[in-house]
Amino acid sequence: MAESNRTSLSPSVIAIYAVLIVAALYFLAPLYVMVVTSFKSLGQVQSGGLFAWPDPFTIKPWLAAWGSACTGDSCSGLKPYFLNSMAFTVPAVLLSTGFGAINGYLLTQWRFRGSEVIFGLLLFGMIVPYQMFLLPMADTLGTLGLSNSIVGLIVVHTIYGIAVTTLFCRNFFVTVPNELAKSARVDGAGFFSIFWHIALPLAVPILMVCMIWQFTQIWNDFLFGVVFTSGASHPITVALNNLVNTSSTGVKHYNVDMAAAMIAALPTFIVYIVAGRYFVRGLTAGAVKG
Amino acid sequence: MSRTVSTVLLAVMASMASAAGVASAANSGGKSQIDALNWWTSGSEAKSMHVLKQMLADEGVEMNNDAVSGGGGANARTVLKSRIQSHRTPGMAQVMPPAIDQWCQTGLIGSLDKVAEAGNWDKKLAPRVAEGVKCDGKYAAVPFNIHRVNWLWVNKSLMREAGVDIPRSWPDFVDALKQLKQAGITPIAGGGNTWQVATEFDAVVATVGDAEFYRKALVELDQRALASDKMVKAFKRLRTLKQYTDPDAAGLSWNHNTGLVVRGEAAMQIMGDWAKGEIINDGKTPGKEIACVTMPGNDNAYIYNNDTFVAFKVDAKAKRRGQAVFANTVMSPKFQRRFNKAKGSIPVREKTSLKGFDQCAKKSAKLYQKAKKADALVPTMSQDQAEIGAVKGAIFDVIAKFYNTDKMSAEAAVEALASRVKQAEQMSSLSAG
Amino acid sequence: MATGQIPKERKQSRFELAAWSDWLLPKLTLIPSLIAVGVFIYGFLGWTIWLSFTNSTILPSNHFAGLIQYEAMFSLDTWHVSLLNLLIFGALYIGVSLGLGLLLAILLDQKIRAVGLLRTIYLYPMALSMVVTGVVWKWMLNPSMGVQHVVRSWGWGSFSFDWLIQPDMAIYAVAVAAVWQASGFVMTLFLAGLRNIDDSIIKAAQLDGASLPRAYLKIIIPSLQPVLFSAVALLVQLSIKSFALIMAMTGGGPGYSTWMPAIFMYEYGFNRGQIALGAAAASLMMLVIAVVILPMWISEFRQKRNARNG
Repeated sequence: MAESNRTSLSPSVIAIYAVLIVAALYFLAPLYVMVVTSFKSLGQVQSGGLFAWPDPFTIKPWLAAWGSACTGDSCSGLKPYFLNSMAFTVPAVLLSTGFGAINGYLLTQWRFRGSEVIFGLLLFGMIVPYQMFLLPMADTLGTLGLSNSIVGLIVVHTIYGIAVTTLFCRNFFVTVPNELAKSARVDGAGFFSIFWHIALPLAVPILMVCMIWQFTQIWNDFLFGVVFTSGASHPITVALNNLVNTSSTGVKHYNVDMAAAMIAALPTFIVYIVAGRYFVRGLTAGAVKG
Repeated sequence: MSRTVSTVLLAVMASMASAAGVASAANSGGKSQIDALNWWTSGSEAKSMHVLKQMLADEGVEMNNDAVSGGGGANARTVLKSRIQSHRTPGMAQVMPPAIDQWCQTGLIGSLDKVAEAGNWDKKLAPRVAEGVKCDGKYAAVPFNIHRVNWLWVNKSLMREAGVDIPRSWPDFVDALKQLKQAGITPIAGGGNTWQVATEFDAVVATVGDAEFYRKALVELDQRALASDKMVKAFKRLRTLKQYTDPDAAGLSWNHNTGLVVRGEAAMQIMGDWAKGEIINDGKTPGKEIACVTMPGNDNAYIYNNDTFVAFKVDAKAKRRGQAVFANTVMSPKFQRRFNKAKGSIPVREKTSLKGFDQCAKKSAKLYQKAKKADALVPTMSQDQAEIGAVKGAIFDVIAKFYNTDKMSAEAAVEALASRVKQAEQMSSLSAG
Repeated sequence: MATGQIPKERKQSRFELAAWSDWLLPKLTLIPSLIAVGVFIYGFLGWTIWLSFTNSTILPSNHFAGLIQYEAMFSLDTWHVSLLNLLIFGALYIGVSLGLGLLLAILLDQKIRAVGLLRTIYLYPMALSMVVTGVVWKWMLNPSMGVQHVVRSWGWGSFSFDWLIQPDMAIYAVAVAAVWQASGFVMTLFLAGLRNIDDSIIKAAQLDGASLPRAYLKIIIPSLQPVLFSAVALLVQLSIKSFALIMAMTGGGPGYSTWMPAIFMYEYGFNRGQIALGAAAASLMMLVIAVVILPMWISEFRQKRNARNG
């Protein structure tokens, strides 16, 4: 359906726009509230007016949330936790995407007996509630000497990300004709050679989808973060929760809370704004095909 | 394309290497070190732990304050289990007396008996308190403080405006609630979550019977006391309280509710003396603008909360030294004064000077001594002081259901209470036996 | 492309090795994933199921205790509330997200302006963590500060929107926030699916005299079935994770009225020191999910195989 030939304003078109705009307002309202609140003074926040424009306009809540707000006995704001999150999110995203790509390629281009069953087994891992893994995981990480470390979190997130990335990549590679790999094999190219030189370049759109998805999921994880890290090694979501639910005074600093929430959301938010196009394009290119 | 991919791989390896560096750096450190796992994350609590950290540093012990917020200790308890499971048992961990008992059965608890003997803890602690910090008759945990739970915080000027006297007995209290409501004032700030309701319930149970009844029902879990008419009366009184609580308060934190009383948006709050921190933060003086009075009808019971840190078994000698210094420091008069002044509680160590403490603390200490003589000291159910998590959870469930379901009768609540408590007890004694 | 770079003279000598390694290598490559999944998912799963038959309390124990945890669980009101909430929340979350997502996708596909902008607006909530979503919605739905307060200050004094504090309505408030977060993502999936459909199918249908709504109902929407499958799989996964959303928004309250099995499991297993009971809840939750999802997957799989063979 081409986007040219725009229709003129008929009643049905007006109705369509009306629905779309109302929906946009529903989606935007919380963001609007977050943004304006984060720039308000505490006095204005307390005087009500959820949707009111900041007056006076202040960036103090942002500075506090980033550098001086207190969680526990440290008043360092979210800054150190932001860096923690980066340190495990980036490697875990790349690793889980890599595994997903190779699995997806293998399960479609190199089908063998039982490969569908293996895919099913991998997929099932996606729907298991993570709480089931906490205690045995703690035990295993301890045995491996990885507890309470960034590396431990990388391992955890990589493992539990494989199912989704494999699903995405498999659904993509299934649309790639097998002939491509077959002819390359006749030419003598091996398994890895084909993967590296043919499959991966083709798969760039879906790799983008995987990375965006994984980045969102891992950056936003709370449960593993709260259980497997402590104190200074907390990820940003845990720090945010501590900050929001720890009020050192009876007065809640909603403006600082909202600024902190925005800071915690910023990286994924930027990813969606900047790379959202690739996300949609990648999905179109394959992820949603069965 | 392949260059991009290999760049990416290099980036992965580089970041893993740097992450490993971060991890190993965290494990270094020379002198005696002690991890203290706790859930003290609010302003005054964190400040108090900072005092401890400094004092330990003076003794050559580096304390890692591992404060986990969330769920009134729920997250910290999860972390404790996962740390034990992953062989990173913290040297000291905040664990309440009933849970000390439970951990005692696992054989993972260390001993502070030598420190206690040297420090003559037997003489320095009330017998009921000392009992709570022992494992197999030996000191295993160090007590920090005594909070009184059954306080009523009253905004004096609001009461004066409405022409209502500060109530002493339950009937007076109900009259006061009525008058306040008629005057258009929210009588009670509370009910924000089950924990706050349970705190009110603690005090209400002590209005229908004396300390002995409270102990029988909520500490010893005597089935007859739990299913008694007195308990029915307690539930009815809890409902009365609800009728005078602002319904919009659901979801509000306890300190928010304290703030309402301080700012004159509600007249009274039933809450432990940690509320003082919030009063002070709002620029008021506890005992002056905001009165601290014994919960009406609670003259015969002092419901206390005693924060305790238990010592887990550790292999390293340096760590055991760390535990000993930790326990000794916590029990020292200097720390007891500094910590409790900041935290809003009173020293657990007997005969510690209260110079410089606020009016409410002095009042609390006097009532504590009186209650000790009358054997009217009872641990609070609502703050995990009276029973283990499974039983407390069962009681909380019944309270929550009753509080949120107006058509549930007090009789039905009592029946549920007795049977749920029995079930929870049975389930948790299975592995012990 | 790149295949041309492989030197021809080495081809012959490498042939046997290549054939052999082509048979083995793929399987070897799977091994890391298989070990990871075998141990960290199925191994752990088995361990948790085993725990549900023991009498573990604050720490795991290996004393077999039969079905007592399951019996106890079904006698608990908290469990019944959790199950009912899962049903209400799951149905609303998945149903409304799919419906709203499909509607928005179809409307966006109607040659309108500013598709890119609107799509970004609908999609961005997906970028936020459940904790952030919970924090902002908790505030918006708080009766004394949020939407209710604002509408009342506009002069509509009797306006009431206090679901968050009503024990029997709070789960719906959570669903509102959850739908807000996910429906834009579902919309994106559907839109991608729609863009994949050949224009000629629709044209052909219209030539046959079908109206546009009819064409959607009879041809286009049914052809989105694979998208539906992916969307449901992802939504089920996300709804299980709604743990953090509930924790941040209501903490399970008022009382335990917004508990779900995930919270039940966390509460008993970790907070109350009843690990075996928590494990029993986890195992049953697993079973419920498997019963819902597996038939869907199997029919999907069969259809595809038939399509391939036929």
